[in-house]
Formats: sequence, C-alpha cells, structure tokens
Amino acid sequence: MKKIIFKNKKIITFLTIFTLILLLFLKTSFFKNLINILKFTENERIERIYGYCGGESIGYLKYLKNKYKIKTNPRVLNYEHTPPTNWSIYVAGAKDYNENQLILLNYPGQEIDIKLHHYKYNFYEFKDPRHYSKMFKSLKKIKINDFIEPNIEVEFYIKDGSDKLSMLENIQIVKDQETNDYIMNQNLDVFKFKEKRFFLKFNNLKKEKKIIATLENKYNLNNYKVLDKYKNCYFIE
Amino acid sequence: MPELIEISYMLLIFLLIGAAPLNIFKSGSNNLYFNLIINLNFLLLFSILPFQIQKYSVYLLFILFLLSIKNYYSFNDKIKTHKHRLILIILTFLLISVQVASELELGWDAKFFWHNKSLFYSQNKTFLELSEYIYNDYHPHFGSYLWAFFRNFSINGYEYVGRLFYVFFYLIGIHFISNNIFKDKIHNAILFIFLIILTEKYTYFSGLQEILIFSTLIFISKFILIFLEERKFIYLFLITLCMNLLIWYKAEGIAYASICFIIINLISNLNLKFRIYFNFLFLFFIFLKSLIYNFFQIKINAQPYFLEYLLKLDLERLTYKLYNIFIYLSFYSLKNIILLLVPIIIILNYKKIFKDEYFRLVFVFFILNIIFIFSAYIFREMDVVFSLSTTIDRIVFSSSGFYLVFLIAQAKNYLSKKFQ
Repeated sequence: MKKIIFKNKKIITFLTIFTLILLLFLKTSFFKNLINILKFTENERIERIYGYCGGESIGYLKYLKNKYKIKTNPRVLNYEHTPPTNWSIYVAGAKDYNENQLILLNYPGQEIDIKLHHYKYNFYEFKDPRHYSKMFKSLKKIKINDFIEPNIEVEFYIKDGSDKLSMLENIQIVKDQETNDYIMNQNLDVFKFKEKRFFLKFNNLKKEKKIIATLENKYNLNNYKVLDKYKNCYFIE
Repeated sequence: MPELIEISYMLLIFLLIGAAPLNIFKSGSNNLYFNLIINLNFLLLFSILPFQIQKYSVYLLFILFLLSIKNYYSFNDKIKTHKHRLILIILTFLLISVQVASELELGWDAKFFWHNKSLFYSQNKTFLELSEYIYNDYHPHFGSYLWAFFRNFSINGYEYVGRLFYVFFYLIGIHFISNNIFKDKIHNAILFIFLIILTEKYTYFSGLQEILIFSTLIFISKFILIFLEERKFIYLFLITLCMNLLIWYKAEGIAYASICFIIINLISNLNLKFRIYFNFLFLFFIFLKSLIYNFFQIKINAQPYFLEYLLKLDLERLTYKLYNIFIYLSFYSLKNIILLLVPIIIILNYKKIFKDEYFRLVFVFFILNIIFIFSAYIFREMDVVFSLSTTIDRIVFSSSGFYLVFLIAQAKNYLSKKFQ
C-alpha cells in the first residue's frame, strides 16, 4: 500500500514538473522564436519588427547609416507617432542633432488633415499636440461640417497635470467663401505643449460638429537637397 | 545556429561572474548568489573609472576564470551534487534568451535613453563622456553599463546579447529563493519553474531597468530572512551591497534603498555594532554617489519634482491626483498577483505583525512602498493620468520582487500546517 502511494506521488510530481515545463515552453513561445532566429538574421528580424520605411523605419535608418557612413547624430523626424528612433544609429558623444542633415520618416506632404475630437460642450481636443508641434509649424485652417457662420471665435486651452483648463489665447477666424474653410494660421510653437492636453473652444458652435484641422509642415522638401529617398522616407540636407 | 552558440557562450560568461572570486561559505552552494552581488559591485566601480570597457573586460574575465577553476576544485564534490540546479538554470536561460533574441524590440525608455547610454560604453567612451549626455541626469547608468559590458563579449556584436545578463540575473534571483524551500529537489524545481511562469514577460528584458530592481529586491528580501535566522553580519553587508546597486540602476532606486534602510533599522535586538556598521556603510555609499555626481557635475535630481509645484498643489488638484492614483494602482495590483496577495495575507494574518519579525518588516515595507508610489505621482509635475498609464505597471512590478520571498514563506507555512 505504502509503495503504491509512493509511486503515485512520484508520478504526480513528474506530471507536475512536465506540465510546468511545457507551460514555460508555451509562455515563451519557444518553438516559434527558435524558428524565427534560425530562419532570419538579426538584421532581417529588426526590419520585420520595426519596418523599413513605415512605422519606426529602423531598416531605412540602418541603411542610411551604412551607405553614408554617418558619424554624427542627424535629427530624425518620424511623422508617425512612434517611440524615438535615433537609438538605432546613435553615435555616442557626437553632437546631438547635426542641423545640416535631417531624416524625415513617413513624410506626409506639405499639409495634413487631422480630426479634432469632441470633448464636451463646444470644446474639441487636438490630440498628441507635442508630437505634431515638432513637425508642423501652424494650424493653417479649420473645416467645420454644416456650419455657415462667416466667422467664429476660437479659444485655445491646455489642461495641466491636475486636470485644470487654462486659456492661452483667443482669436477670431473668418470663413474663406471659396473653400468654406476658416483661415487660422495659428503658430503651434507658441504653446510649448510638453505632455499637456490641448483643446480648442469654438464659442458660437452650439451642436457637436465634425471638425477637420489642416496643419502646415515645417519642412518643405523644395527648400532642401534630397540626398536619399525611399518611398516617403527622406535623407535631406 | 550561430545565435544559439552565442547564447550558450554568454551563459558561460555569466556563470563565471557567479563562480568567482570568493568562497564565502564552506557549503559552496550559495556562493553563486553572493559572488554575483559582489562582482556587480566591482563592475559598478569599473563603470566609473576612466578606462574603456574593451581595454579591461577580457583581463577581468580571465582573472575570474582562473579563480573559478580554483573554486571548482576546492568544492568539487559539492558542485557535483548541485548539477540539477545548473540544468534548470541552463534550460530556463535558453528558453528566455531565445525569446529575447527573437522578439528583439526595445521598450520606450530603452529607445529613449537606456540603449544610448549603453552605446557610450560600447563605443569606447567612459563615464566622463556619458556624464555630458543630455539625458544622463534623469537616471543613473549602471544597468546600461552592464548591457554594454556583456555586449562587448558578443561574437557577432549583437545588441541583445548585453540584455541577456538581465535574464541571467533574474533567473539567479528566482533560483536563490526557491532552491532550498523543500527537502525534495524536485519540489524546489517545481517552485522555480512556477515562479518563472508567474513573473516572466518579454517586456521586462526589453532594455528597461525594472527587472534589475525586481531581482535585487529579491536578493535583499532573502538576505533579510536569512539574517533574521542566523544573525551574521555578512548578510547585512550583502544587503548593503544590494542597496548600493539599487541606487545606481534608476532614480527610484534611492526610494527602495531608503525603505530597506528603514526596515533594517527596525529589526529588533539588532546588535549595536551591526547597526552602526550597516548605517555607516549605507550612508557612505550615498555620500560616495553624491560625491561622484558632484565631481562629474551630474544633477542629483533631474526628475520633474519642483518645490514651486508642491506649493501650488491645492486641495482640488490633490484630490484629482489621489483619485487617479488609487484607481490605477488598484487596477494594476489586480493584474500583478504578487502585489494583490500581500495585503490580503497581511490582513488575514494581522496578528503575525506582532509575533513574526519578517512578517512585520514586510508589512512596513509594503506601507512605505505604497506611500512612495502615491508620493511619486502626487509631487510630479506631469499629467498624472498620462504618467500613471505609462509607468505604474513597471513600478508595481519592480517592487513586487521584495514580496516573492514573503509569499513563498507564507505558502510554505500554510502547506506545512495543512499536511501536518
């Protein structure tokens, strides 16, 4: 009897450890990962994870570094909001940001349209202001669906870390009769966003509307010499 | 295949760091853990010296190699009896390393500064040049140094190889607290694998430093437990060395080190001589760090904490912050089972606070830890929701290392009572 219990205990212990090891293999996706490292080189895996020209575009950055033997730290601007990318080509101790050279990733063109998100009442949120203010110089114009007033008063607010709204500026904007856009030309650099949330209050807007803002790019490719180009990723001087 | 060879080769190098230089304890079995802490402190010293990694790392490793051969022969029999431990470490290291090699992606902060800081050492620079790096003031450098130090041994120069040391350190920490809980070796092995399943996640090895804090707190917690049983100063000394490592990983390391400092001083009947040595050593390490920062003109605190902000913190802002911290902390505690279990166990066994010394110390650690988490977000001049949503999971994780030993001890007590 004692022998049987002992044997059973041994079997249970063996089964437990076997199950746990199996779980660990599954949790770490061992076989999938093993095939991945056997099939692809480190560089290929990096491209598959970070993209070549798209997303973080680390593949393109590494290509530029090898081709142009970059020994400084050019400024890398990614129009897609991703984590920082310059780590992949970083040269320790070299001057941060060689202003002569610039790498633009996922360049969207001279202007882009973004949607303002309704927050409450007549407040609309401009999401991710810090990211946009790095690459776009101004809020050029606003398109408000189903709104016919010839002008509108806009107030700019930021919300600090303690949920308090404070007004930064207010302006009157006038409708362009040809395009139906409200011309704004509001410089973004003056707001110094940091991690704060940014809102626009449209004073004579009664109902929730679909609002599209057009941002004007800081970097016009016509003003630079293009050293290298792949799709919408550029190395310029 | 070359990457598998590289992973195995790196494991040998990591084992050297644990196998030498000292044989503090005649049993031989625990030397791996102690040597690891001692050698990390040596590496910390090297990280500040004005020498390039490439110039000394091979010699350093060679000396460790010779010493480990000497250690092997002096404790040959004992090492042979611990072969099964090595097999477990090798197996789990292989599994997690393959995951790191395959997934590769760095965490946000790793991309932002940890990786760049490690590049200073990899690209033949020293602490002097690193001190001029614009993001150096935010956090100390030691985790990045370790990344660069071990990357330096990579045959193919792969970046992730340096990060494999984080895997090794984590595994040794888990092994340390699970290797002699039960009499049966297989039961200990089951516990070891179970703890890894419970706590392992790729993101912890993505170049972020929380895993180092987590693992070091595991060591501290276990050393405290052993010290309470054996009352030998060597354990207090090792705790101080661990606390020294904590203050060099990340800015919040000073908070954890201070909490440990407080709880050690709360140990009842602590030999006066031990108390004086311990306090002196820790304060010396703090003083040394300030001196080094002062010498290299690094800001002691570059985090967004300002006196003016504290002064303008009104009741409305405070309530808003407290509310959000409470919500986020509760949610992430539910996700991290370790932090969830600690208050439950403390409440269910509250009488033990007055009877069990280790239980009381963990209780105080827990209270101070919660106070630290609240203070860190209340006094930080940043959008609290943004700040919480991006960091609290890591803060909860890093401190949970301390409680693992406690949970194991409680579970063992419970099981032994049940099967008595």
